[in-house]
Amino acid sequence: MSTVNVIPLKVSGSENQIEHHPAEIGVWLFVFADMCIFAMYFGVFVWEKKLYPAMFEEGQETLSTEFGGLNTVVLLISSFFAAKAVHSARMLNIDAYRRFIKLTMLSGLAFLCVKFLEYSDKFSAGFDIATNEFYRNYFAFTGFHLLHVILGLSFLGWLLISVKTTEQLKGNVKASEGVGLYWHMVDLLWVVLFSLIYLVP
Amino acid sequence: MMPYVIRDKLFLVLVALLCITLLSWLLISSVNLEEKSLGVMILLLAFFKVRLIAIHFMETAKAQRLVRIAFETWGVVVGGMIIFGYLMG
Amino acid sequence: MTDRKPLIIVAVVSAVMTTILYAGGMFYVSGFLPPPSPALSQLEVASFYQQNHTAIITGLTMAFVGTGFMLPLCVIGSVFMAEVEEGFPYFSVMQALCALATVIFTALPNFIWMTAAFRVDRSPELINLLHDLGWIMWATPSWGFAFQLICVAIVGLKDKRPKPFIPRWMSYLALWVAVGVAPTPLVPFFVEAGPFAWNGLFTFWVAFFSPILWIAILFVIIVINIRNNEQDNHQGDLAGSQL
Repeated sequence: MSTVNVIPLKVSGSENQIEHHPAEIGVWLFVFADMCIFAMYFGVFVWEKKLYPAMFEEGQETLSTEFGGLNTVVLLISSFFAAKAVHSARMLNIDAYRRFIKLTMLSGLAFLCVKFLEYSDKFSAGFDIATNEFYRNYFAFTGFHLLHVILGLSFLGWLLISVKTTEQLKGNVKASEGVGLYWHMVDLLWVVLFSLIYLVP
Repeated sequence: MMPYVIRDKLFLVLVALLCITLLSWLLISSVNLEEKSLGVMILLLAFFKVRLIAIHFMETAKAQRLVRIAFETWGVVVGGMIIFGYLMG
Repeated sequence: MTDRKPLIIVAVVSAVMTTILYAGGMFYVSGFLPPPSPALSQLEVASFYQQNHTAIITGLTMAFVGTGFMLPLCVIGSVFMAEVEEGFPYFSVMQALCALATVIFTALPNFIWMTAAFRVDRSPELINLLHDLGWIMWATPSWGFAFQLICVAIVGLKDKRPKPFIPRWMSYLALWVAVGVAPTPLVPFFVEAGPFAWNGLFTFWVAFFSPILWIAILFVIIVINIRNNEQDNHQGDLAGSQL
């Protein structure tokens, strides 16, 4: 359990034959538990939308679906890069691995920039976390998600610093799978948040 | 290069995800449906995306059985809860 | 290597004492937990303190004595952690220091609430002020506990021995708890009841009970481990690795 088992995977055309469980079970536990906290966020949002329908409708109209949609696209693409990075890690292809980690981080940073623009837009329009229930949920939930993005970026940065050679990559395949898994969770949660807060009329 | 990209499963998943995002976008901007059914459709599309991400990006399909069951259950329970709450409201 | 058996006995005794004194004092005797709504009126708050004068002081005294027992528990955790670290046991020391911060921020509000209850004829405004001060101090600072858990998780993930001091998945669960207590700095923003008020779903129910859940799981593992390893006493690790 404690030793990190690295199975150097042969490039054999199809990936489906690989008998190998992705990521450590502990990471799955973390991800699932975190998704359960977010499930409670979604529950609170739906519940309060029912309590204050007019306020939520009014609040939603002030949100920018352009920024939100752009961020969805950015995160989906970064998730794809993360999946490619994990794939290259299994192939022990260090160049492709580092390239895809960098691309993932770049898209993550783009997400942060768009978020910064969006938040400063809202602040200059006079909305903040204490304005009303809608904005409390909007800022708290997207802010907590933003915290996850920043955490994920620091994990990716740690991988980029600590994995520079094929030898180091061999010892970090499981770690890369774990970080990749976490990053996909961030993407998955944003997909739900975006539809729920920005889109659903 | 091109055939490689087309055979790349992850890339196809990404294209599918982006298309669904575009589809929900189009649904919102061209309102010709009743509000509730539009909302339910967008939520269903969102949870279809969630399932695509879970199975192909997170690789729940290749993970331990329990993981797969847990994630499918999360999707069904949370999706069901949101859609039910939305229809009630 | 230190003899582990007395350490584990002290850890279990402290955990039991903390639970009995803190939970008993806060939930049962003084009725402070679950927290009252921040939206209560001044008069409601004042009458709560005036009518339950003795019960409040008794319960809060029990609770602050109980928090003291968290220290031996956390320091024993550091003893097990230090065996993993090479050189200066940075994370173990950090964990113990953050435990002190946790204990202080958990115990200090008790004295503020006690002050509010101290003079029965205190004016309602002042009682209300001390009440708010106590609750904001109690509910907002989660960083001490979060850092403790992060330290435990880092050392747990570094531990490559065949029998690590906690199972690897417990380290990941510790990180989840650290994320779970992260929303508590939002408490001072909300005067009305809601999910992020001091009695809210995320800032009280999740942030207070997820650490308790983690510690409870830790003790279940310790008990299972002791049962399995009764005869072989070589490296009886804190929680072992059978799981």
